[in-house]
Amino acid sequence: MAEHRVRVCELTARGIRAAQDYLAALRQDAAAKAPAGLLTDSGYAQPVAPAVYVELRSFASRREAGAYLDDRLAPLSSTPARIADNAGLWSWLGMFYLEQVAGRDANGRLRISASDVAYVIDPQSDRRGDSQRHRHRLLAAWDIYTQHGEARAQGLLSHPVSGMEQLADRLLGAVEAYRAHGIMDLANRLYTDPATGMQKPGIAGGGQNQRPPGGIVRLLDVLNQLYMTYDVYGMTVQQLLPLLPPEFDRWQGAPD
Amino acid sequence: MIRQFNYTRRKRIEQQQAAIALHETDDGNAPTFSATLELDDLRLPDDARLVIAAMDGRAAMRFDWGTAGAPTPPADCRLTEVPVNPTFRVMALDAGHKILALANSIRPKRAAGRESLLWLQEDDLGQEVWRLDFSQPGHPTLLVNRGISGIGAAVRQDDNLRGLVLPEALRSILARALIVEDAVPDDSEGDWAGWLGFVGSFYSADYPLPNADGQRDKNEISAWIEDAVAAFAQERFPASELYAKARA
Repeated sequence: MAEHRVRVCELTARGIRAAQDYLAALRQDAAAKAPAGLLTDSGYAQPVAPAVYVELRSFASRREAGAYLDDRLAPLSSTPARIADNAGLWSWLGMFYLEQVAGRDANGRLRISASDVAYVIDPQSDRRGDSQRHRHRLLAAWDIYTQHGEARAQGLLSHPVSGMEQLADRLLGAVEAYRAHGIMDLANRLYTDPATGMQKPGIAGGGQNQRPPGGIVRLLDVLNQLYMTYDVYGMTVQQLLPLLPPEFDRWQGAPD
Repeated sequence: MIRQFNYTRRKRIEQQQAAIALHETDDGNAPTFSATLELDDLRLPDDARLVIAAMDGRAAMRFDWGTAGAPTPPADCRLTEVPVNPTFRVMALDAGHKILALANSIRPKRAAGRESLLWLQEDDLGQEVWRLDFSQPGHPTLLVNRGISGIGAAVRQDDNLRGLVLPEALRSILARALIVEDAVPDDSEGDWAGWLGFVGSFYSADYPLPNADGQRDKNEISAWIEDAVAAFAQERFPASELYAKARA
């Protein structure tokens, strides 16, 4: 369902505030209208350079969104971190694709996350060292795809772009673990069903603060302990597996 | 302060044994780095593998550096994932990936003109002009709003702006080090040794002593900080005078 292409912009500070106000209004009233010109008026948005273009379209998964954005944004910089750091760019993309990324409930209303950072990154509150920008839905999809690809992030990439499940949230938020190929391979091995390519059920327990045995929160706890002795961020999945306590054994096979 | 015990007999690599230099450019390309490792005194096995990791709070990169017997830099030392203000970790590992020796949070040397106790970085700050970032222990970064054209050069050279920013930045840095992180001015080895040594070069008043419970009075520490900042403005950086001249 490709439509006409649109030049990509970055939201200005004023544009980010307007987007946040709009999100707040949407949570109160599903019929709230976006500020006129939010994505185009120079006070709200400035074109990025060099010029890159996107089309309004849907994404069936993070895989689709990541691959598409990787292709479209690549000309912006040979240094991926500079693309990732551009809060205005991701905020513009989050608002441009808001309907596609937020999804709709059974009544056809947009399912707006309670957290603005799912769509808009506010540099006023998002600080290096205490950053929540990994929760931005499109940035997460692009980052997982470009950093790890299918081989070590199959389960994460199969997830819908609209959500932020605990596995992705915890992994992306643990900066060194997330950049470690062996740990991502390990998480993929433990928590992705090889038959379906989807995440195994039950790895996160019932909520954000659950720590089921062998789940992702426990894995990061254990890796943190091992880090005192081992170079866990440089080890392969084959080297890491024997160091894990028995609580992880049940996750090494196919799901029950 | 959290005391950590080293049950693993891991050796400590001192900062002077692992000198790292950052090579930055103004063309938008990622910086590179080089490292000089002097690890002979640690008596590591020749085949101990050396690894250098770089990180900046949002990302991390790793570089294999040969062995203790034959340190060998990789061909590509570009910091593509951590292009701004990285700190480094140097590790020596045995064949089973156990850490034999470690240096954490190494701050790189920068080229003349870029070296400073206070790192400078342009970043998205919304409507703020500047802000301090403390994500790298002991290495605060002065973030300036990259939406303001020329602000990086202004902070380096323009006394009008420097006069407004630097004393307050020093006050915040000392509050972070001495009140939030419980550092003490005579600590020559901790994360804040560089900054506290700098303050010691122009301000040497007695630091508040701990009470019977081992705690220092926060109000007394705050007063010490205020006097240190006043001494900074008096001895090293006459902010008011420079600001007035710049405005004239």
